[in-house]
Amino acid sequence: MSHTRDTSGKRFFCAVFIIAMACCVVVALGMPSSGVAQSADGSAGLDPSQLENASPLPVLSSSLIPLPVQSTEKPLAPSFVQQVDHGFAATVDWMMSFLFYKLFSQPQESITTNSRNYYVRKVDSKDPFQGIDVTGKPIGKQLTIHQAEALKAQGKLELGTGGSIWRTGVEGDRTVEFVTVNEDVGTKYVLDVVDGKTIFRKDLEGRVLLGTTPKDILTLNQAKELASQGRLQPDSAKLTADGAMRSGAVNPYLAESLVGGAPLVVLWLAIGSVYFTFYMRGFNIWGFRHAFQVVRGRYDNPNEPGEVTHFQALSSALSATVGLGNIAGVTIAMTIGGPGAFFWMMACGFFGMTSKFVECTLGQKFRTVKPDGTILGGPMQYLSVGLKQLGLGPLGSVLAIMFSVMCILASFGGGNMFQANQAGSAILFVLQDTDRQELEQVNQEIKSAAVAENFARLDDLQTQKQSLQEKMDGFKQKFVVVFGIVLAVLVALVIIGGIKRIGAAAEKIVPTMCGIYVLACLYVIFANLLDVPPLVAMIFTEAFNPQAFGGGLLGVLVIGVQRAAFSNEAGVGSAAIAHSAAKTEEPVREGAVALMGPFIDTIVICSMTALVILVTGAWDNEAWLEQGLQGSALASRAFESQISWFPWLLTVAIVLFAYSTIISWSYYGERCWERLFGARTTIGYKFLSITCVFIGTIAHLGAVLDFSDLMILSMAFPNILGAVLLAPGVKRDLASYWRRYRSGEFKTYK
Amino acid sequence: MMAWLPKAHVVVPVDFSDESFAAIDTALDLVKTPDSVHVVHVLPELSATEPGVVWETVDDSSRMDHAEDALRARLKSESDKYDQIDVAVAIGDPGHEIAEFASNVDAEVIVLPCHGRTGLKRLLVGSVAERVVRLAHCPVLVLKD
Repeated sequence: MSHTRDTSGKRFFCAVFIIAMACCVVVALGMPSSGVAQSADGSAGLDPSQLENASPLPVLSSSLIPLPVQSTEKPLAPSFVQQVDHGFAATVDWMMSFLFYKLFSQPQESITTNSRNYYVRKVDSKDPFQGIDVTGKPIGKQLTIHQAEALKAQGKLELGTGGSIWRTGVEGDRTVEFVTVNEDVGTKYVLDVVDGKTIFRKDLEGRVLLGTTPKDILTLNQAKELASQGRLQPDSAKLTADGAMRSGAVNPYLAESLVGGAPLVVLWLAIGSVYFTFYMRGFNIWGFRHAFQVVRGRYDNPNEPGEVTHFQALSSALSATVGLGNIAGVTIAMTIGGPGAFFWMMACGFFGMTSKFVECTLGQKFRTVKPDGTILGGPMQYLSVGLKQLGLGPLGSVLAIMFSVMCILASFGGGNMFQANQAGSAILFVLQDTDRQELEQVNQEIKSAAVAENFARLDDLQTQKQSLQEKMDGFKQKFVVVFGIVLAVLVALVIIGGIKRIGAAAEKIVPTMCGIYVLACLYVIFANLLDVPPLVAMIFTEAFNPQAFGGGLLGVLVIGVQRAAFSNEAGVGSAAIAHSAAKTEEPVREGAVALMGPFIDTIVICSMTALVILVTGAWDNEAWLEQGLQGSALASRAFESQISWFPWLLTVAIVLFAYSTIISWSYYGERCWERLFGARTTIGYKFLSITCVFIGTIAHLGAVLDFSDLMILSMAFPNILGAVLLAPGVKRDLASYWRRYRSGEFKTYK
Repeated sequence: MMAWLPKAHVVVPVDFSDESFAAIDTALDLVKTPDSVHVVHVLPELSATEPGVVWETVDDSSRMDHAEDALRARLKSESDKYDQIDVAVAIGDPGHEIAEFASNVDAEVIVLPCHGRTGLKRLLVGSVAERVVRLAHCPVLVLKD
C-alpha cells in the first residue's frame, strides 16, 4: 500500500519538477529583452527577436574610418607575470563559458563613443603640437608641452612606452610625433526601437539601467554622423589584430553581444531548492519549530556517536558561511539589482533551507564514524556510498571526485584568498581614510587649476599629489605584505601548529559578532522607521516589475539568488561536512538543525544588511556611488552616516568573519583532500592553504576571484544531482522520523 | 640469525582492514600464549579545525578510549581466541609510533600485512611497511596475500 503510494508520489513530484522547469523556460522567453528599461512614456521596448524580423539592424557605416596617425612604436613585450596572469585569465574565461553558461541571454546592439583627439608635430621639433581631425585636416587647435603635462596629470593622455607624452608615428606619408588625448573612456549607447524609431540609449555605469531623458538618447542620424566623423569605437570583435576590418565583417561601429541571462548553475541551484521544498512538502516551514527545539538541546544525548552537539555543529557551519558575502555581497546586490533583488534573496534563503536539510541529512546518513569516535562525512561520502547503494556506483565515484576537487579549489579561492584580500582592504581603507580624503581634495584642485591654466599652482599640486600618492602606495605595499604574513601566521598557528585556542576563540566569537552586527542594523532601521513601509512596498513591486532597473525580472532575480547562494551555500554541499559531526543517531534531526543555517545567514543577517543599505538610500546614492564606493566600503559609508564610529567596529567584524571563514573552510578542504589522497598527506593541503592566505592578501584578485566563485557554485552541479537522486530515501526517512516523533518515541533531555 | 622459536613479544599493527586482522592469526602462530601478541592501532593527529577540537568535546584521551573499545569489540566479534591479546592505541605518524611501541614492549618481530596500495595513493603516501622496516629496531615480517 505504502509502496504504490510512494511510486505515484514520486511520479507526481517528477511531473511537478518538469513542469516547473518548463514554466521557467516559457516565462523567460516571453520576457521583454534584458537591458531595456521601460521608456518614459510607459511603453516597453520591443525585444530584439521581434526587431530582427521587423527590420534589419541599421547600418551606421559600411567601412572603418582609418586613424589619422598610426603609431610606429613597438609595444612592450608582456612580462612573465603579465603572461601568467593573461594565461590564467584565459583559462578562467574558458571554464566560465561552460560552468557559468548563461541561459536566456538576449542579443544587444550598442555603440560606444570615442573622444580621441590627435595632435601632431614634426619629429624633433620643439613646436607645439597641431590638432587634426579624423581625416587629417588641421582643426586650428594647438597643444603645448605644458598643456600636455596637465592633461597627463588628469589621466587623459594615451601614453607611449615608459610613460612618455608623445609617440612616433606616420601620418599619411610623413613621420611625426603625436599626442593622443582621450577625453573619456567612451560612453555606451544601447540600441532600442521606440514607436518604430531606432534610438540609442545611454548605458548608465554600474547599473543595468538605460537612459530615458533626451540628453541620454542619440537618434539614428546622430549616430550615423558620429560614425562618419570617426567618433565611435569600432567593435573589437570585428577587427583583426592590427586594427583592420575582418573580411566579411560589416557595420564595424555597431557592437553585437549577448547580455543578461542566468548562469545555468544559478538556475540549477534555484530550481533544485524549489524542487526539494515541494518534494519535502514544505518541511522548512512546519519543521522549523522542531528544529529550534533540537538546537536548544532538547534531544542532546552525549552518548550518541558524533563529536559535537547540534548547536555546536550549527555554529561551525555558520562560521564558514557568515563572511564577506553577508556584507559586501549583499551591498553589491542592492546597488546593481535594487530593492527587487532583496525579495529574490529572501526567496533563495527560504527555499534554500530545504536544500540544506536534504544535503545535511544525507551527510549524516552516509557518514563514517572512525574508530577514535571522530567523523568523516559530507557529499564526497554520500555521493559515492549513497549512489552505490542505488546501483549507480560509477556515477557516484565520478561525482564524488568532481565534488572533492572543486571543494578543495573553492577552499583556496572563495574560502581563503577572497577573505584574506577583503579583510586586508577593509583595514587599509580605515587606516588610510584621512590620506584618501586629502588626495580627493588635491585631485579636485588639480582639475580646477588645469581648467584655469594656472601652471605654477598646477606644478605645486602635481608635486603634492605625487608625494601623497607615493606615500599611500608605499604604505599599501608594506601593509599588505605585513598583513599577509601576520594573517598567514595566525592561520598556520591553528591549522599546522595545532594551537586550538586561537581557532576555537575565533569560531566562538562569531555568534556574538553576528549579534552585535544585527543590533547595529536594527538601530539604523528603527532610526529610519518611517521610511520602512514605502520601502517594503517598493521591494515587492520592484521584485516583479522592475521599473528602476533594467534586466527585467530575470536580471533582478539572478542577482538576488546568486548573491544569496554565495552567502548561504545552500545546495553547494559544504555545510554537510560540518553537520555530519553532530552527535546523533537520527540523520533527519541534524538535517532539521541545518535548515536554520540559511534562515540565520540570509533571512536574518543578509536582510539586515540589505535593509540598512536600502533605508539609508546607499543603493541609490549618486554622490557615494560616483566616488566609486562599493561593496563593504559602501556599507561602511552607509553605517557611518548613521553611527559615526561604526566603520571601525565593522572592520573588526569583517576581519573576524574572514578569519573564521578561512579556518572553517580549511576544514572542508582538508576532509576532501583526505578523501582523495589519504589522511597522511593533509600536510600538503595545509601548506598550500597558508600560501594562499599570503597570496590572497598581496595579489590583485581579478581572475582569481572569478575562479574561486566559480568553484563554490560549481560544487552544486554534482551535489544537487546526487541529492535529487537520493532524495526519495530522505523523504522516507523524514516520514518515519516524524511518525516516531509524533508518537513520543524520542527521549528529551532538557 | 633469527631462530624460528616461539617469541616472547610480537607486535601486529592494525588499521581495521581485513588484511591487518588476518595478520593477527600469523602472529598467534609465532607465540606460545596469546597475551604475547600486541595489537596496536595508530591514530592520526587531529586537525585543530575539527569541530570536536574547536568545541573541546574531543581530545586525545577520549579518542584513545574510543579506539581501544572499537578494537576490542572488533576482535571479540571475529573470534573468542583473540580475547587474551594485548590491545594498544597510539597517536602520531604510523611508522614512528609502531617502531617506538615495538621497542617499548621489547618486541622480537613486527608482523605487517601487505597493503597492496596502488596508483596515486601509493605514490603519495608511500607505504607504512617501508617506514616501519626502516625505523624498527627488530626484524619485520611483511606478509603477502
